[in-house]
Amino acid sequence: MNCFEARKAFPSFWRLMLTPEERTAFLAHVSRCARCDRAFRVFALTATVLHGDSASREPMPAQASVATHESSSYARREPAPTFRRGAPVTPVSPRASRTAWAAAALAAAALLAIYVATATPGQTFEDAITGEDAVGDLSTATPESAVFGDAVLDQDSLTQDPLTQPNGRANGVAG
Amino acid sequence: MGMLAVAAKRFVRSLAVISDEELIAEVLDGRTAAFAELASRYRDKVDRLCQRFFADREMVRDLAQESFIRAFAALSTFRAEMPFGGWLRAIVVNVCYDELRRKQRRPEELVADFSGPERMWAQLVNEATPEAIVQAAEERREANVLAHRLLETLRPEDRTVMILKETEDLSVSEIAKIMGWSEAKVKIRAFRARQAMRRQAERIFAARRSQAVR
Repeated sequence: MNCFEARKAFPSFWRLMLTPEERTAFLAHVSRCARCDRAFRVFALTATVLHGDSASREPMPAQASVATHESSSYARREPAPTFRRGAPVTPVSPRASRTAWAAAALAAAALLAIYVATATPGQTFEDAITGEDAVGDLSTATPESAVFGDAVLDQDSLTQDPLTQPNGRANGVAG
Repeated sequence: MGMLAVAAKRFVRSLAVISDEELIAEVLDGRTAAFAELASRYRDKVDRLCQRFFADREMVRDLAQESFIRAFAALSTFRAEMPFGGWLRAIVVNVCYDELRRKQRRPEELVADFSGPERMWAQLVNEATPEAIVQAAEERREANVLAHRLLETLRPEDRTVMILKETEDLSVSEIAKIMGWSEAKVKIRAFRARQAMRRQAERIFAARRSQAVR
C-alpha cells in the first residue's frame, strides 16, 4: 500500500470496513510512514463527526427512488406492497411467454379430449357440431389435428412472440 | 357506492409506497398533509446532515425545521428531473451554511478552554495506535465535542465543503452546484480546509504536549 492508497483508506479503516488483508496492509504502511501516521491522527480528530458511527454514516440519497424509502417510517407502517405504482413494468421473456401459451393450449386440448371421451359413442366432437360422419375426415387428418384442431396447432401462433404486437409495441407496456 | 369506491381507492393507495414525486404533486394540488409524509421520509437524514454542522441538538432541530419550511415554500420550483433528496440536501446545506456564517467562532477560542476529557482524548489520538483510537472513539462523547470544536474553527465555506466532501461524498462539481460556486473555488476551499484542519490539530497536539511538560 502506498501513501495515496493509505489515505484513501482512512474512512474505511475508521468504519471497520477493510478486509483483514487490507487492514494489515494499511496498518503496516501507517506504522512505517510518519506522514500518513500524522495524517491519520488529524483525520481521527474530526472523524466522529465527519465519518460518524454506523447509524449516522448513511449520506442523503443522491438518487431518491421508491426503493430507498423502504426503510422509511412510512414503509414500516404499511405492509410491503407486491406492486408499486410507478415501478417499471418488467416484461415477460418471450421464451417464458411461449411456454405459457403452450401450456394453455395443452390444457384446452386435455379438456377437449375429456369431452370427446364422454360424448356419444361413435360420434366425434365435430359430428356433434356438424351432424356429419367425421370418420372419413379423421382418416385424412393427422392424429394431432384430429384432437387439437388446426387452429391450435398453428405453428405461427406458438412461435410468435406474444410480447410483440403488429404495431411493434410490447404487450402491457405503455408506449 | 361512490363513497365505497373512494374508500377502497384510499385503502389501496395507503398500501402502496407512493413515490416522492407523487407526494409532491399532491402537495402542489393543495393536499398539504402529504408534505408530512415527505418530511417523515427525510427527517432522519436531514437531522444527521445538520448534526455534521452543529453539535447543539436544539439548533439541529431548529435548522432541520427551517429546512423543511424552506422546502415547502419552494416546492413549486422543484423539477422532477432531479431527485427530491438531492434538492432537499441543497436546501439543508444552504440553511446550515447561513447559520455558520452568522455564528462563526474565532480559531483562538479553540485551544483555550479544553475540558479534562477532551484533553485526554486529544492525548489518546496523539499517542495511541490507529486501532486503539478507532476502538476508543466509539464510546467517547468528548471525541464528538472536540471534533465539533475543531470544525468550528474553520471558515464557513471551508467547513461546508469539508462536510459535503467527507460525509456526503459529493464530487467537486456537485458541491459547486449546491453552493452556487465555481469548481475552482470548491477546490481551493477544500485545500484550505485540509490545511486549516492540520494546523488546528497540530495546535491541539502541541498544547497537549506543553501541558504534559508543565
